[in-house]
Amino acid sequence: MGGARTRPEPQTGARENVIELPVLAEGSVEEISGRTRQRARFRGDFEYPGDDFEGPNVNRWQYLPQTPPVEDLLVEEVREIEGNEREMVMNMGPQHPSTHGVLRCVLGLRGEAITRCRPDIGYLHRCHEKLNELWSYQGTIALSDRLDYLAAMTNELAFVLAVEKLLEIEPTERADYIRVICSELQRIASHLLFFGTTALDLGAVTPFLHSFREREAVYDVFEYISGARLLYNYMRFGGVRTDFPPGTDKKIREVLDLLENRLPEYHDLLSYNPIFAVRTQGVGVLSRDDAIAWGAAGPVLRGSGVAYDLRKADPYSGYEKFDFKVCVEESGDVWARFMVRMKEIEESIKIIRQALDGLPEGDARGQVPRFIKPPPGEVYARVEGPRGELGCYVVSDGSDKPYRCHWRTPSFHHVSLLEFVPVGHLVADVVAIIGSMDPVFGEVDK
Amino acid sequence: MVEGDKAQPAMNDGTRQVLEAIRRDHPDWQPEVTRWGEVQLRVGREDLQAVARALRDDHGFNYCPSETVVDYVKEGRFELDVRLFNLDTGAKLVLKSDLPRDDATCPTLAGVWATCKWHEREIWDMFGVRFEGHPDLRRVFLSESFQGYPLRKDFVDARKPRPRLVRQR
Repeated sequence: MGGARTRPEPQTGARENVIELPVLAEGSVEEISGRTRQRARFRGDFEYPGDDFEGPNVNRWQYLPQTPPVEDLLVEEVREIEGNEREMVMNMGPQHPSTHGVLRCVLGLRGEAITRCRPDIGYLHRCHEKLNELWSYQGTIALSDRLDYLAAMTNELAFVLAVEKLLEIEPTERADYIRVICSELQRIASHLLFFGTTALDLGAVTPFLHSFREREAVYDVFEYISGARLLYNYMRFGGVRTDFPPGTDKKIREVLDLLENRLPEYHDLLSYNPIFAVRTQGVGVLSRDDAIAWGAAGPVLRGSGVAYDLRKADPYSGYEKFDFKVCVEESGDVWARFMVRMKEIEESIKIIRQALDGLPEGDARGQVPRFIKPPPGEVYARVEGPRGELGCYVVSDGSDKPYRCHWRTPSFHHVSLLEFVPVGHLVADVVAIIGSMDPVFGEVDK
Repeated sequence: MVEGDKAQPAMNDGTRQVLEAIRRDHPDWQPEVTRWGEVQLRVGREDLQAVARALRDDHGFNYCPSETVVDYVKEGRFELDVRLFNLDTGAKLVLKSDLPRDDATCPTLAGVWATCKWHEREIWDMFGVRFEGHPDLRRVFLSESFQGYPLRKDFVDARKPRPRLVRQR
């Protein structure tokens, strides 16, 4: 942003590129769809799979070329933009590779600076809460894996804790330890993925390869324990599905040793790399008050200087027995959120070592009937997932299916922060900010 | 939902202090204690904003992780369920309000906790509860052209089934 460079004046006739679209009238769908299809063919000479579907959705292709996506902005905002020739509307996503799935951001730009940002979500909506009402309690455990698919263990744990509260049963002590070990391994795996994708978003490819190498080692452990690498279906009411197979202790300790050796390498490679520091420090600052008011959680909240961790504030599954510290950074920028996660990996390693040392003998699963009908009532259980407070609100009416199941997912609120955090930054910084929120669209869109 | 001293053991210190403060300052609020050691307040929807503001400013409930609605269709009401926490003392509180099903409106809490802005967009999308005074009440997951509110218990999907697309060989 040197002073020597002058910004070119925007062309006043830029709006000429916009193709005027015919006003939709009753019965004109055929004509418009034909015309837009022609245009689509002209643009790329390819056909869409639903091209011959003559339904009301056909005319959505009319939004393909250059029309600003005005339906996603507020009316007064559109008026403001139209009256301001220097402001442009740009669509980022939903297929942008750095949006971690299917996030679409409608950006208002003035030159390269962001004037407004409207996150648009819902592209991965799978009716999760409706399916919860249609499926039995057991089926919902497997379904909750799909919510935050990078942290399936903690999702299962939230639901299982909620139903255990309703049933008024306690898991066995060994099961609690196993749950803690699995949650912390999951946190490590998730944060390793974050490390890789953040670097990738900022243009550094190598850290991604390094972090995935270690993440594979963690997933090998999960495969050994539960038989699955990503979606485990491992937690059960009153315990876990199967006990640790013989040799698990050794395997987990090997992974922890490996990680401890590699973490300094990560810091050399990326964390204290001057280019990375320039791209992240002072970017996307989220103040302490905003973080609390907007419901930020987990590393995003702790990156803004709030020492709030449910494992300490409201312990579950026996977390009060372990010695670890809550990682906090004060600056609230992308760098702070990054460093909180990197420190949490070290704390997780400490917790797992303590849990492995103290792993009690006994059953890993309590005596709970296969088919359960919790008594009527409602409960809100929450766990500290890798992305923050994951809450599960279950209402039972005494039948074998939840009457209502609501998920409080942290990523949903982290995406809502995008409404104001990127304003004033450059387009390239939006990518860094989205990456630092680490949203997973399975749980944003539910 | 047991009232009284039976459920005291699960309650933490912050919650106990808040319960005492509420009983002292607001004798008309009638707090209950749930089985899980949370204070539960049931208020009419016309008092919702005032109560929420008092809870935030006077009792330190600065964090609202969850706001949702349950559809009790047989009783003809929606139940608004707001979970509140105090990050400093660890106090827990549940704010409940009944909304009649045939007049599904509610004053917005977006001015009290900013996070409710998106909670309420989700509720509007899924249950069709209109939040009065909300700054940006658009659907959040579904498209604006979607008919109906899918998490209502009486929702029927009236759309025609979409033809299956089969690849021609």
